[in-house]
Amino acid sequence: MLFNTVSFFVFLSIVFALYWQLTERLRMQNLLILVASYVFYGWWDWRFLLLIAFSSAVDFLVGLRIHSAQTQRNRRLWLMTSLTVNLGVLGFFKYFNFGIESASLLLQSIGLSTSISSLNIILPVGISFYTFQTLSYTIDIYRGKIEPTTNWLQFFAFVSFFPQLVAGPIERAADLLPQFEKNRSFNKYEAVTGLRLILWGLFKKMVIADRLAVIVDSIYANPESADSLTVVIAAVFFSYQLYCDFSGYSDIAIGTGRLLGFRLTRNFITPFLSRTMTEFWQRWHVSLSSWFRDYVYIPLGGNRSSIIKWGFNILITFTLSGLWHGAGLHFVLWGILCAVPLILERLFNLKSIGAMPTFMLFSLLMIMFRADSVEGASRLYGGLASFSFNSHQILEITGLSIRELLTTITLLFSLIAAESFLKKTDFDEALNGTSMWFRWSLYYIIIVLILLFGVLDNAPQFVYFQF
Amino acid sequence: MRLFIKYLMLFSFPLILGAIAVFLMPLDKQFVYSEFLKGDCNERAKWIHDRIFLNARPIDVAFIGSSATWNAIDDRALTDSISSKFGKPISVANLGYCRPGVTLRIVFVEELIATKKPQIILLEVLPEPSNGSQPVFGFTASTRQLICPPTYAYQDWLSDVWKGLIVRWEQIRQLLSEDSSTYVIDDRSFGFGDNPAMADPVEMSRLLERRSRGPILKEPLLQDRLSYHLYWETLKEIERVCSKNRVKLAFYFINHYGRSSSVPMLLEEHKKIAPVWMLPDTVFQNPKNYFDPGHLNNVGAAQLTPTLLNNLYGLY
Repeated sequence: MLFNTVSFFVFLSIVFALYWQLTERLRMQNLLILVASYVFYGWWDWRFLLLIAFSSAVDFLVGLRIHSAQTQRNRRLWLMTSLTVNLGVLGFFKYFNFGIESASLLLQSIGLSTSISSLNIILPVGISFYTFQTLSYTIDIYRGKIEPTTNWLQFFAFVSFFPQLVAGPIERAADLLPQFEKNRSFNKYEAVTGLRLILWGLFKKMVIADRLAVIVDSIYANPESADSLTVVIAAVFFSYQLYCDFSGYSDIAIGTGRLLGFRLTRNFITPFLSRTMTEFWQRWHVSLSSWFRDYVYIPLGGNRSSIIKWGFNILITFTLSGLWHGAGLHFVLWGILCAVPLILERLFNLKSIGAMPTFMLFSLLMIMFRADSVEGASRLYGGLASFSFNSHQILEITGLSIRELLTTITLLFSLIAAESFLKKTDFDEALNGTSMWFRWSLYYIIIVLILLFGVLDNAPQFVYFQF
Repeated sequence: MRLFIKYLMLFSFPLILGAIAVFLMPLDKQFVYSEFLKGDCNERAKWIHDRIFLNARPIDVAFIGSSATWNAIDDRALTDSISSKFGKPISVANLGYCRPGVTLRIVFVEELIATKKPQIILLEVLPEPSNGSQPVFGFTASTRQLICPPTYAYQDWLSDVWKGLIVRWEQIRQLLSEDSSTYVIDDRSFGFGDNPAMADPVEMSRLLERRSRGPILKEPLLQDRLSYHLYWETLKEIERVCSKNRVKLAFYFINHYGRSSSVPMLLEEHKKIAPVWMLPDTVFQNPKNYFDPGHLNNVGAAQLTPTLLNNLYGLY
C-alpha cells in the first residue's frame, strides 16, 4: 500500500476514526496500531509478516535477556545473538545473491569455473529500515542507554509502526518506544500540522519527483546516447527526484504519525542548502546518517583519532552505508566515493565550498548510485566528459514536449524557491502564525497543483522502498 | 476532535464544489476517443470517433456491439451489396468495440443520431446478457448520461460517475501539458476487422471440450433477471431514443463456438423490444471460421453476409 494512493487514504481514515474512539484505552490503541501496521505491511505480501514478527520476537526476548544477564560475557553473548539473527536475515534476503554472484565472478577471474547458482529471493519491503531500528534497540540496552520494555504489544507496535515501517525515519527506541507507553489523546494542532506535512509530502512526491522520474528514467535507460548536457540534467534532476521522493515520503510518514499522536524524527533539513559535504550528510536522511554515526563511526573511533585512522573510519562508514542501500558493486563504489570529499574537506580544512558546488558534487556522485551497474555509470561519466552539447537531445530521449519539460522545470524552481524561503524551518512550522486565509489559500493551491500537474496514475513507487 | 472534523468539512466544501463544476463540464469527445482511450482496443475509439464526427460519409446502417461484431460484420461487403440492390448509396458501418457491456451502446446510439441520422441501428446480442456497465462507458458518457442513467440499480454507477469526473479532469490537464498539434483524421469508412488467419485447431477442440463439460446455461430465475436490470433498462432506453427519432432498431445474435444452444438467453424478452435476427448457427459452430476462440475470421464473416443482407432488405 503506497502513501500516494487512494487505498492508503481510505485505510488511514478508517484507522484514524477507530483510533480516536479508543482514547484513554492505551492497550487497545496499541493493539489497533499493531493490527493496522500488519495489514499495511501484509498488503505487499503476507509472507513478510512472518519475518517481521520473527524479528520483533527475537529482539523483544533478547532485550530482556541482555538486561537480566548477570555477567558482561552473557550480555555480549545475547547482543551477538541479536546481531547475528538480524544481520543474518538482512544478509540472506538482501545480499545472498550478490555474494554468490561476486564470488562466482571472482573465481572466474582467476580461471576457476563455478556452478554456483543464485536463489530466487524476494526482498521484503523495508527490511533494512526495521532491522536497523530493532538493532539499535538491543545495542542501546547493551550500552545501558535504555531499559527493555516488558510489554510485547508496545514493542511489536514500535517495530511495525506503519507510518515509518517501510522507509523510515529509522527511529530510536529511546524516542519512539516511550510514546507507545503513555496515553495519547487527540490534539488538534498535531493533527493539523500532520495534514500539512502530508500535503507537502504529496506535492513533493507526485508533482516534482514523479515528473522528474519520467525524464531521469529515460536518460538512464539510454546511457550510451547521452551527451554532456543531458548527463548534467539527468544528474541534477535525479538529485531532486530522490530528494522529493524520499523527503516527500518522510513528510507523509511524520504527518501520519502526528495524526495518531506520535512525533517522528525529521529526516531532511533542506540538505541542498548545505555549504559542505560534511554539513550535507548532517541534513540528508538524518535518521540513517545518525544511525551510522552512533553505531559504526563512533565505535570505530570517530574523529578522536589520528587523521589516517579517522579517514579509515569515514571510509568504512560510507562503504557500509553504500552496501546498506543495495547489493551491488556500484552502491559500494558510491559509498567509497562519498567518503572522499569528506576526507578532503577535513584535510584542507574547508569550512564552506558553497551550496551550488556542494549540490553539483552530490549530483555527480549520485550517477553511480542511480546507474544499474558500474558499467552504466561509466558510460554516463564518459558522456559527461565528452563535452558535447545537443540542446534537443533531452527531448529526443524523453519524448516529452517542450511545454511538458518547461512545466516540470517551472515546478522544480517553485520548490527550490519555497525551500530557500523555508531554510531550516519545516513546512508545518513555517505556516504557524500566518492568517487562516493565507494558509487555506496555500493548501488549495497545493491541492490544485497536485491534481493538475501530479502524476496521478501509474506513478512509480517510492525509490527508497527498494532498500 | 469535533472542531477538527468541522474544519475539515468546511475545507472540503470548495473542493467538492470544484469537483461538481468539473463534472458538469462538457466532454471533449475528440480528446476522450483519440487521447484518453489511446491504446485501448487497438485504437478503435479514435476510428469510431472520426467515423461518427469527422468523416463526411453518412452512416445509414450501424452495427453496434462488442469485438465479436467487429470481426463478424463485413460492412464494406454489406455496403456494396445493399447499394447495388437499391440503386443508391447506402452506407453501413461496423462500430463494434472491445468488451461486452450494454451501456456504451447508448453513447454510440445518441452520438450517431445526433450527427449521422441513421435509418437502421442494429445491436449485438450475445448468448448471455452482460450484467455490468461497459468499462469505458464512464469515460465516454455525457454528464446527462451519467447523472440520469436508465437505472440507478447497478453496481458500477458510482464507478462510472468517478470515471466521468476523472476524464473531465484529464481533459483540463491535457490543455496544460500538450503542445498544439494538427489532428490527423482516420478517414477509413469501414470498421470490419478482417482477419484471414485460422484459429489453432487444438485450442478450438479444447474449448469445445470445456464448453461441452460446462453447465448448460438455462433461462435465468427471477433473481438473476434482476441482475440484468441495467441491461434491459438500457435496451429499453435505446429503443425509446430510436423510436423518438424514427430509427429502426433490431438485434442480431452472435453465438459462441461450442455452445449447445443456438438461441440467446431471454430471447423472448429481447423480441419484446425489437426483432432478433438469428444468424446461421452452423457458421458459429465451425472451428475453421474463427481466427481465435472468440472471433470470426474472414471466411466466417463472409458466410454471415448473405443472411445479414436478407434481413436488411426486409427492413428497407
